[in-house]
Amino acid sequence: MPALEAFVNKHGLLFTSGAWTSLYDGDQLCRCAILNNNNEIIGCFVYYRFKKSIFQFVISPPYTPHIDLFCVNPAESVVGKNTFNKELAEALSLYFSSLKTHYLSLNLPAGLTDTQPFIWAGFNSRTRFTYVIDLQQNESQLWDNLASEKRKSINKAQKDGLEISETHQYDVVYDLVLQSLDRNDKAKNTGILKEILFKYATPSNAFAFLASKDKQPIGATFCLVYQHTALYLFGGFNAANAHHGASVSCMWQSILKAKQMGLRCFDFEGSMNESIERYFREFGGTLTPYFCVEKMHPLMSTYFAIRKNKPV
Amino acid sequence: MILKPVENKEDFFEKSAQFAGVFGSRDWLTVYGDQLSLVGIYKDEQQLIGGFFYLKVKKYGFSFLKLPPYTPHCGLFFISESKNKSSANSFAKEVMAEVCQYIDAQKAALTVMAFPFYILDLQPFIWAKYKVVPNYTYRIALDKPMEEIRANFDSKNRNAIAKAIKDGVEVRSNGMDAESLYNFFNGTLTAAGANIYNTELKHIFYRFRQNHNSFSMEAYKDQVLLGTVFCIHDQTTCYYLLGGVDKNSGVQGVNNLLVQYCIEEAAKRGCKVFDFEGSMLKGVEKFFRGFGPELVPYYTVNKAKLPIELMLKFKKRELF
Repeated sequence: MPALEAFVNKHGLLFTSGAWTSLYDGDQLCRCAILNNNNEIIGCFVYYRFKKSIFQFVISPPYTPHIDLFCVNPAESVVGKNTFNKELAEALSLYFSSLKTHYLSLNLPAGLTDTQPFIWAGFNSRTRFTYVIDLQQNESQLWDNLASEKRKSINKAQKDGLEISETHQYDVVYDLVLQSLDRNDKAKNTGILKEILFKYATPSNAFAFLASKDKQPIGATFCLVYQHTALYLFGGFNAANAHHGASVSCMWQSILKAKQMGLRCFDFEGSMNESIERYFREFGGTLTPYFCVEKMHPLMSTYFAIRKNKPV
Repeated sequence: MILKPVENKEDFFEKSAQFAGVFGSRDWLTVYGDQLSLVGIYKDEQQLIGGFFYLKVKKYGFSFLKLPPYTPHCGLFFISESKNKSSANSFAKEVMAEVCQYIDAQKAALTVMAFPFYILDLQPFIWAKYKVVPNYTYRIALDKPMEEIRANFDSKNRNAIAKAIKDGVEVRSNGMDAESLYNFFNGTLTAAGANIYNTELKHIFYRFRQNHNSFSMEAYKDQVLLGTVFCIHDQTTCYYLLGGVDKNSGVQGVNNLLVQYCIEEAAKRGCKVFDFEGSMLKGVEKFFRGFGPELVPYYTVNKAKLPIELMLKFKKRELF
């Protein structure tokens, strides 16, 4: 789809770009264009579909924070812009309803707040949160906004001789990330993880930091650069040689690197897991809501309400 | 931090009005008498640093925890002294976790609460298995000239207003007494098939309504009442609380004209924002959108005992 690729490039989109979507199995990743009445591309989004048992699922692509929904709003007036957004959300709700999946759960980008048409079309609109650090602050302000525990951890790492450095050794990063995912039973779609690290990442679109002690890697962070934002995508640590300053120091250096690159924000890319939310919170970001639209057949929803969990 | 029922109501009202505005004011909360539960958030046994309110009612043998009728949110406020961003976040998280625990401890069969738009951190509710659902309101900033505000109206809306004026519709302010307002809104709400809470509706007009906290705008043609809008306000925000028109009059644009007058009156009274106070109904949302406001989400939290939740999954899918 060269026209879509040209549109994506023109607007600097990441998760709908060919470079990103080629990391996924072409049968499972759907890249969609939004057309105006003249059949011109005015927007796009992406989603991931798969089958499990007899059920069809549609979700945000793994390791992708949201569906990267973007649309050029042609209206100039406030009413016109609101109305266009409403019509866009209505068209999307119709499109997603037409997929007739058993379970649908899609994260919308943080700036997209109008989910009313989804609600009216029988979707559930759920609120999710991430922490975002404003990088317009100077380094000293960023430091002061850290929780004292985080500052202590960073100082301790320095005192204990941990080496924190930017790395392009993505095989080491992969190994540490996989160890952490394994510990939490989350090691799914590791093929995509590899593709992101070994095929997609370049010094201009991503960066990683590694913490080592006595030349042994013990913690790592990996971030993507998306327009004016650094997105913390994943990280990991070696539990056998854990040092509580290792990952914290990598994250702190990632924040500083993002600032040096002239980026405006550092986004922790979702902080909904209770145990890691506190870890992210202590870096002093602003809690930022984003929305997730969900649709499940009521019987399926009933089944999972009784089981008190979700299908994916 | 201690959460407990408020004993010193005056202390609560003073702080609550300061942060939660008119819906947290003494004038408004006394509309509900003793049936309203006021909860204080105390730093120690005595120092009130926050609070909220709710209504607990029994229906069909089940207890329901909900908002008072005609009130859009639970008025939650809290005063944070933290300067460090991380500490401020942690304090907010701690408050919300305590509020969640307190609400949970009421053991209601069904809980449906909404929070003011400035309360964002609902994560503790998500972790406690509440469904956190965004609702929306529309708000217009009044810090610009009326001409500019009017220029942001949808052209169809402006045409409807112009037509109403051309058809001889006149607008008067505060021309109806409490009894007339009550009878009017009782009639229009009944006609619209909306739930009517008679006692509270009466109290709003007989007890709450004063010139410093509210106003009404009435539209007439040939001395016949065509419609009324009733707004309440504090020093910063004016809320469109109730509105209704005589649908049989055949005159177009009456409500549009009334809202324009209300926006003007709110600006005259020094309010910085005009809030349409919830716009979740499709038809109503479209009408409000025509005034060029900004869409603002606020959050509701819903939880029910499993059998009720399962039933509501079919009947009220937007909640569960």
